[in-house]
Amino acid sequence: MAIRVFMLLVFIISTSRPISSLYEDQVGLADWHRQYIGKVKHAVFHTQKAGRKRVIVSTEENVVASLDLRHGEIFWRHVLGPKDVIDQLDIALGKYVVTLSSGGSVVRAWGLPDGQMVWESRLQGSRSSRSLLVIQKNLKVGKDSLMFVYGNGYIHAVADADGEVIWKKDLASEGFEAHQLMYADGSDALYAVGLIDSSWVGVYQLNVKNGAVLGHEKILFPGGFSGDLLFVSNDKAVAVDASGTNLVVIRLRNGQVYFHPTPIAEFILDFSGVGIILPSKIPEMFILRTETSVTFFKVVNEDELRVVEKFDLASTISDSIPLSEGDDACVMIQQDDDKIILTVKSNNDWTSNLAVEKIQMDHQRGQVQKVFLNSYVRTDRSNGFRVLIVLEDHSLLLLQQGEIVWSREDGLASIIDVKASELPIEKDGVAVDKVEHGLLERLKGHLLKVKGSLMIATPDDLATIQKMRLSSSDKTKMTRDRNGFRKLLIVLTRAGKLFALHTGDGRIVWSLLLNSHWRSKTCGIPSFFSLHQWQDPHHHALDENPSMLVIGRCGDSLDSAGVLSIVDAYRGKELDHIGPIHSIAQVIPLPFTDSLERRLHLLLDANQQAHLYPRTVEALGIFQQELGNIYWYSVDRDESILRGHGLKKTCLIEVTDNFCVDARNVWTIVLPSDTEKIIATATRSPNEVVHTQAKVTAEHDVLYKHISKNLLFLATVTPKAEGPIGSVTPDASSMVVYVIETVSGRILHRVTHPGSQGPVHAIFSENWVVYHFFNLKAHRYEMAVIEIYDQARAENKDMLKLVLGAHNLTSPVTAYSRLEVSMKSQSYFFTHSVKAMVVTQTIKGITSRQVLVGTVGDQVLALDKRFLDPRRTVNPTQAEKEEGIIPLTDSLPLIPQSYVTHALKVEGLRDIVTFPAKLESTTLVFAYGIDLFFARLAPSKTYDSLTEEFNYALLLITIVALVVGIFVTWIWSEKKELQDKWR
Amino acid sequence: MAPVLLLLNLLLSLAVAPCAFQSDELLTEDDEFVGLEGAQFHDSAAVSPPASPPATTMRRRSVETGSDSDSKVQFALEHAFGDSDFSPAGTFSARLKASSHGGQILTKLRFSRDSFSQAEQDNFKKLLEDDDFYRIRIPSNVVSQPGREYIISSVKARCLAQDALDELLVLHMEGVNILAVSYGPPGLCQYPSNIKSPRKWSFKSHTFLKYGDLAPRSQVFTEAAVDENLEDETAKPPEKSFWAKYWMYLIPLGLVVMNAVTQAMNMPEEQATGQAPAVTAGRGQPTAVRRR
Repeated sequence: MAIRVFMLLVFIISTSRPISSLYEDQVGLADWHRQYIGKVKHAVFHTQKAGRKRVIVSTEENVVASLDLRHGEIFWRHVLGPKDVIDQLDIALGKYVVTLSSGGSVVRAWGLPDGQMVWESRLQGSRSSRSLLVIQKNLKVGKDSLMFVYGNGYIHAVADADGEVIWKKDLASEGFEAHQLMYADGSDALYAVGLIDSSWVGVYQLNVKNGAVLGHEKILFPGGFSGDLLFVSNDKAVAVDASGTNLVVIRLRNGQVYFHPTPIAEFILDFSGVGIILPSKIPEMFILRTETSVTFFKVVNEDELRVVEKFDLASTISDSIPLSEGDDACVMIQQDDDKIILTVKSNNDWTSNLAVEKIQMDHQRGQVQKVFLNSYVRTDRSNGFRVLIVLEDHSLLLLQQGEIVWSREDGLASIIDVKASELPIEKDGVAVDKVEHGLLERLKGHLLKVKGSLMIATPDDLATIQKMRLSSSDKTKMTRDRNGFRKLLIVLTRAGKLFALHTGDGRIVWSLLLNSHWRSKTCGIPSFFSLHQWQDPHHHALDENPSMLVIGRCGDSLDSAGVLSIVDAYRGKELDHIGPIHSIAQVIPLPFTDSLERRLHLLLDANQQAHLYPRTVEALGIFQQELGNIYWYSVDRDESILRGHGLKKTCLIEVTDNFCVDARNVWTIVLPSDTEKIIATATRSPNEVVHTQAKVTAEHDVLYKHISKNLLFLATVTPKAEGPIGSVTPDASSMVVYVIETVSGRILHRVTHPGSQGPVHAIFSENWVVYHFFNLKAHRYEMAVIEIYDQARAENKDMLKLVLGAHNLTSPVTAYSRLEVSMKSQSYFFTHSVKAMVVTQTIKGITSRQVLVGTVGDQVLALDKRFLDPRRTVNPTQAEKEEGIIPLTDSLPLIPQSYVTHALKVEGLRDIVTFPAKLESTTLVFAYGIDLFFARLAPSKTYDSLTEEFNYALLLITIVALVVGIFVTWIWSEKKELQDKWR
Repeated sequence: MAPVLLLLNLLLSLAVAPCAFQSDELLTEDDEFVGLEGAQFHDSAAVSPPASPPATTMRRRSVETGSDSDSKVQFALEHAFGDSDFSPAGTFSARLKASSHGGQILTKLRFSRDSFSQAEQDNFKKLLEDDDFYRIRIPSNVVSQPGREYIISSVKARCLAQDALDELLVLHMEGVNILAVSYGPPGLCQYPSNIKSPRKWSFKSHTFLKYGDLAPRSQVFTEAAVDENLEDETAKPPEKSFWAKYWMYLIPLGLVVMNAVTQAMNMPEEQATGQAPAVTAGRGQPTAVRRR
């Protein structure tokens, strides 16, 4: 019997093999995926029918999405390309979402319930113009229901049902630019009203059936206009004249145009500067913004103006929505410290408010930037309102009945920079085990797990087990773990908000809106630049928190003043604020830290002066010592010039500033600008770790890697070939790649790829470069690898020499000496185009590396570096095979299991970052675009720890069974022996 | 010593010249073989020691009777001590030759280095003391000098100060454009701790011209090779081990066999146990009897 059990166990163990890819139930265990849409710019509610209430939005990230109005979840979502900017959004026929994009040249209809694309029409045009979309509810020409699209100077009548262009008319003559398309119900005429050269008002009257011009009028307004015409009704528009001091009411009657100008000063007594009419859609009303206030005007009695209400600048107004027969409502939002006040007004009776709500708002969201109003019928048959607001940090909130129903942090769709930070060390007295409640729960959990592993669990139990695994407290603890899997991801978004995300489940630990904070400190429009690790305490980890340095500018240009903020990575509080200061062109984190473990940073300004931070005497002392060893390079892409820089002595400026150092030009490389244009550069990551310099080949030979932090990979193409693929012939295009030593400015390697062009993506790691480009001759993408080996050390292999001391292992390595390097290179075809490329990093650099490729399908593919080995040959010898050299193939294999993102898509993928975990075999990968994706990766499998999937129960059962077996057999043998003895 | 070196140089340059000549012929022939061009290109990078006999140039010219583009250019090397202004320090002279790609390339580079004046020597010594940079610059285009900008390179003065002043200049060329110059000592650089002044204030200059290589073309496997690969791939599945293929049949079989074996073992056991009581009884009785 014991033999049988034992044999069975042997069978089970021998047949279970390690698996390289992911099982279905492992999804979400070590990875998470978050979906976002970006900053909303249009929203259309769809709430009429009894079905699911939804809001359709389009965003600045070019996403069309349908959101659940109850919870804010995404029903469906489509990401249009980065160049396909959505201009207009509407709903047609009650079942299609219509988008107008690419400057009015593409109209698409998407099915409302499921988001399937129903039709797409490409509209021709002659010149770029604004784009308008008018969907008329009850206009039928023949059988077709029509919509009118104005874009690129043409008016198109497009059938709602199938996108067929019924007619089109060129209105681009004389520089006419339509501002409004109008169709009066029941008539045959479509009016296009617009401006010609900003001083003529032009009116086109078109036949809706065939687009024939019925009438054309243009009238000169001597003063000229500034800005747009705003239509307050079908026959009235308002505008500001060219001087910006007069309001003009424009009346259209039977094709005739009448003007009625009035000075703004008549209404606003303290008026100065210029007035701007804000875009709005409220019948008979418009909003004028001046330097001091926002004023509501009403147009009464044909062309008279009347001030309705005046507000301070920080108020936002929605478009109006029809409420009941002949009544409209709009909502106005004002902010008061940490409250927002929401006032719904009726158009007919402006003095009384339909609803006033006060809502407590988080400080970290900033000001309201956009408001969308929707009404519903309450249980008591009165009107209720729900309001969708977009805030300064790009978040989206739905407000109803004075509460925030849901909120979406869509600022995370536009991440600029990411850094990882360690979590606090687990201290005594810190209650960490909050997630697991009591012993009973725990026991229950264990019981379930046992049931699961014995395969007697019901589907419900399995679901519970899976849920338990996904939300295991181990993953989401707020303290450091031994393996270093738990970290904080500090991300900086374009809106100027810092978020700390937990790597366990992607939740937001804290957030901090720097934008408004900086603005209040005399910094015009802040733009954000980069994020750096300021303080990373190891020795003082218990009493110091790590902190981050956020760098930005006041304005968009390179020479606008810089701003720095230092933010505590645990608490999300700003510790220090410096600025506005000198301009910031480049940031160099130096490899030195002071006694508080703050990293020294060198900030270069536009005048080539270097400024040291932190500004302490100690930091200056460290810096002065290393002054002669600091070099950097700058790339002038327009001029195709590379310059190397070193440091001189203290700046020559009026005020002595010890922290400012002048730069000097050490070397210059001038590439011929007529044949070469720089398109890509790559350097090694400054904190990359290389385990060994030697590489032992199959023939027991040693190759020495040339490992230097100062190498630069540079790719240039023929200037003509800078455009998209296919814009040049193979003969007219070539690509040149360089490996340059950036201290001395030596070109170590220069090689030309004829008939190739960009875009080039490159990664530099250890002693190798991998770059991706397009081969025009082969009509395929290629990936090439260059490995750099040190020849100067090649002779150190002789044992005798080593013994006798006749080696140069102890000679100093200096960049000024002549470098003897040899290059090995090879290239392969690669199927995908690439959006981003990075290399995995591990803590000690022992684990073999993988190249992570962000594919065109927004997925992340892990490609073993072994495939990109220049020593691959078609028929490797037995020894080479043993070394792990793969037979050479002309293209790199795409193994479906090696997609890190498995079945998921990281929509709009922009970049991938990797951080080492404390466990050598494991690396953490964070991919971001519109979506976020995080995963734990083990490029060479987890060779240094048992996986979480390891079946401890089986091991235990085996051991117990063996022990029992031993005892049983022992007792048996004892018995038998006894019996034998008795015999 | 010096005459011997000169002679060696002479011999070397004589040896190099026919080599360069041969490469020219190949270039014109091998227009189609892009892959080979790179190699040829590289060969044509002239190694020119300070002096080369006029005889070679004569020979070259007689060979290239067809091309009139063979013309001489000169460009200056300027130097600066630390952050001082640049001043002339030597002259390069070279020949322009029509390249097979169209355009011109530079060959037969010669370099004459001015030796240091007393003031320059003092400057240089000061550089050694301060451990500062000795900087050089050359125009970035040899035809329309100085081109868009000067090519600058710097090296710590201590690196050059060997017995004499040793320097190695590698000019990276693209047609008539100079991309970069790798400037430094031909060997190792002195360590800052034990700096010694040079005994001789004349330069021992080594100059190289270097043109870029062509990348090796991606290997597109020929039809046969691809077919082979395909065959390989199709042939791979049968390579699975016998065990991997049939384990699902083998395990039940094994279990059945085991079961059968144990049952077969049990049978005699049962028989044995069936007999055993009788035996023990048989044996027991006498013992019992004996005990009694």
